[in-house]
Amino acid sequence: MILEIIRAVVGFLLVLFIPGFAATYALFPKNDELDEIERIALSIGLSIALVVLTIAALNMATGMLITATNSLLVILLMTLALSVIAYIRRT
Amino acid sequence: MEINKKIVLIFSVLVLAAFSFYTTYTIHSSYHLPYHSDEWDHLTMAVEIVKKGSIVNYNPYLSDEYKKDLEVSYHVLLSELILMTGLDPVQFSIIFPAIVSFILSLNAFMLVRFITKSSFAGLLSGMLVTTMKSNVTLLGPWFMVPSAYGMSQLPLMLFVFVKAMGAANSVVAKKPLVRNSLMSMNITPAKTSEKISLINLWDVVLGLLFIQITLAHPPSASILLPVFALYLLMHPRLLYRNRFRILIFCVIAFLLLVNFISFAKLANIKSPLSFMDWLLNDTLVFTDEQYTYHVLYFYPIYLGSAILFLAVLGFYRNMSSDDKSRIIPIALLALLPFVVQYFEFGKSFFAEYRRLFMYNSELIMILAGMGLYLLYAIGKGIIGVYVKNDFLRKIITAGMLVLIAVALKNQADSTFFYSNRLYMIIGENEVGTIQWLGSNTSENSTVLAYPHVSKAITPLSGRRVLALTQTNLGSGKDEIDKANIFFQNDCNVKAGILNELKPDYVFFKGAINCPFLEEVYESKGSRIYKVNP
Repeated sequence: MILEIIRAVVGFLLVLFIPGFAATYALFPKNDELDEIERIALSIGLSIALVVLTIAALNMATGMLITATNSLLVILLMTLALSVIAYIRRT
Repeated sequence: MEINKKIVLIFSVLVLAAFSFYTTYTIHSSYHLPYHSDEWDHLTMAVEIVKKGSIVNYNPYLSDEYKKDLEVSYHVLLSELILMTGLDPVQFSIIFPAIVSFILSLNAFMLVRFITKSSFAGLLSGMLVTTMKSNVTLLGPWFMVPSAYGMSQLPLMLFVFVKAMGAANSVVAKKPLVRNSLMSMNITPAKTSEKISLINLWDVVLGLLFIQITLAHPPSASILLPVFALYLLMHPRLLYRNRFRILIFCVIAFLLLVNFISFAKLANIKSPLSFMDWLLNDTLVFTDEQYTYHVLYFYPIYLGSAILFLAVLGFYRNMSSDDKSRIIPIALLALLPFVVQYFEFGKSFFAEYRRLFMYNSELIMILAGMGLYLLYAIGKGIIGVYVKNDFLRKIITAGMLVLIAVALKNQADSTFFYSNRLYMIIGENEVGTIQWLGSNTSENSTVLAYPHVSKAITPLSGRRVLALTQTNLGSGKDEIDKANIFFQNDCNVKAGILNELKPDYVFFKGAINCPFLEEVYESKGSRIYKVNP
C-alpha cells in the first residue's frame, strides 16, 4: 500500500512537475527571472507540454511504444538534458 | 523577512490544495466512479493507448475504423499518468480532476500575485476560481475532461503572454543578412543601432504551451486568439514592438488550424465567397444544440450577484492600473461579444457557448478575488486612519478576515448547487459484473447493453460494445434505437435484434427469460447472458 502511494506520488511528479522544473531553469537560469510560485506554476505547464508532445512525437515519428519503461526513459533523459543546459547557463 | 515570505507561500499553496480537493473531490465521497459519459470516453481512449502502446485514431468502443482524435494530447497525458502512477484507471479518473483543479487555483494565484504583488489577493482569487459550479453540460473542474484542463491553463497562458510581450531579453537581429531581409519586409527599423525583437525565451514557452493546449482541447486555445488580439490592439506600442514575433505566432496558429481542417469539404469549395462562407460558418462557428437549456445559465444565477459585484471592483482596479494588470479584464471583454452573439443568434465564434460561458466565469471569479482583496485593503486603510488603538485595530482586522473566511466557506458550499443534476452511468455494484466479462470472455467478444451503460463496459472489461450514447464517441442512432428496443420488448423482438446486431453477450441489470439467452454470471442483480444461436 505504502509503495503504491509512493509510486503514484513519484509518477505524478515525473509527468506533472520534474521535467518542467528543469526546463524553467534551462530557460530562465537566474533566480531573479522568476519567483518561486511563478517557477512552480510554469513547471507544471511546461512539464505537461514537454512530456506529452515529446512522447506523442516519438510515437508518431519513430513508432516508439508508449509504455511505462519508455516513458520513464524519455522523461529522465529529457530532465537530464535540461538540467545540463541549466547548469551550463547558470555557470 | 525572506523566511516569512516563504512560509506565506507554502501556507498559500497548502490552502489552495486543500480547498481545491474539497470543492472537487467531495462529489466522489459517496460514488467512486466517473459521473460524466465524456469522462468515460476519455478514460477509454487513455486505456486503449496504454493497451496498444500507441496513439489511437479510432473509436475503441466499436471498431478500428479511422476517426481522427482531435484531443490527442489530452489522451496521451492521461495514458502517461496511468502508466507512471500505476493507479487503476478508474481510481485515477476520480483523483485527476482534483489535481487539475489545484493546477487551476495555483495558476490563478500566480497570475493575480504577479499583477497585484499580493499573496493574499492571489489566494482569494485562487480559492474562488475553484468554486465554479459544474454539471453535465457545464464541464467544469469536477470532471476528467479536456475543457477542465484547458481552463486550468488559461491564467498561465495570460501570464506567459504578458511576459512574452514585455520581455526585454530578446534575441536581437545583428547579422546583416537577417537584418536586411527583415528591412526588406519592413519589419525592422532602418537604423542599425536600433534593436529589434526577433524571438525570446518566453515566446518558446508560449508556443509550447499553445501547441499543447491546441492539441488537447482546441477551443481552449482558439479563445486565446481574440484575447491576445484585443490586448495588442489596446496596447499599440506592444503591437508595433513585437510585430515580427506576432507574425511567427500567427504562422504557428495557422499551421495548427490546418490540423483541424476537413480537406474533403475544402476540395468542394468553388468560389471565394463560398470559401468565406465555409471558413466562417463551418470552421469557426459552434452551435449548441440545446439552445434554450444553455441560455438558462445567466451569469447572475450561475455566479451570484455578490461575485459579480466583486468582479466589477476587480475589473475597475485592473483597468485603471498598468499594462499587465489589464490582461484579465481585456480577456473578459474579448470573450463577452461571443457570449452575446450566442444569445442573439444561437451560435458563437471560436468555441461553444457553454465553454465560453465557463472561460468567462473563470475570469470573473479571478476578478472577484481581486475585488474582495480591494474591499479588504480599503477597509484596512479606513481602520488605519480612524482607529488609533492598536488592539482594537487588530480585533477589527481579525473580524474582517473571519468575515472573508465565512464568505469563502459559503461560496465553497455553493459549488455543489448542481450536484443533484449528476446522473450515474452505472452503479458501483455493477463494476464486478462488468469486470467479469474481461476475465472470462474472449478478447473479440462483443457486448450488447443499454447505450449509456456501454460507456463503462469497454474501459472496465476491454470488450467492445454495439450501441453507444452519442457524446464524444458514439454509435449510430440506428444501433442506439435497436438496443433500447431490445431491452424494452419481448423475446420475439429480442431475437430479431440479436440477429441484426450479432452480440456475443448481453449485459442487463435484471432478469431476461428467453431461450436463446443463457445466464452465465450474476452478481448483485446485474447479469451477463451468453447469446446462443
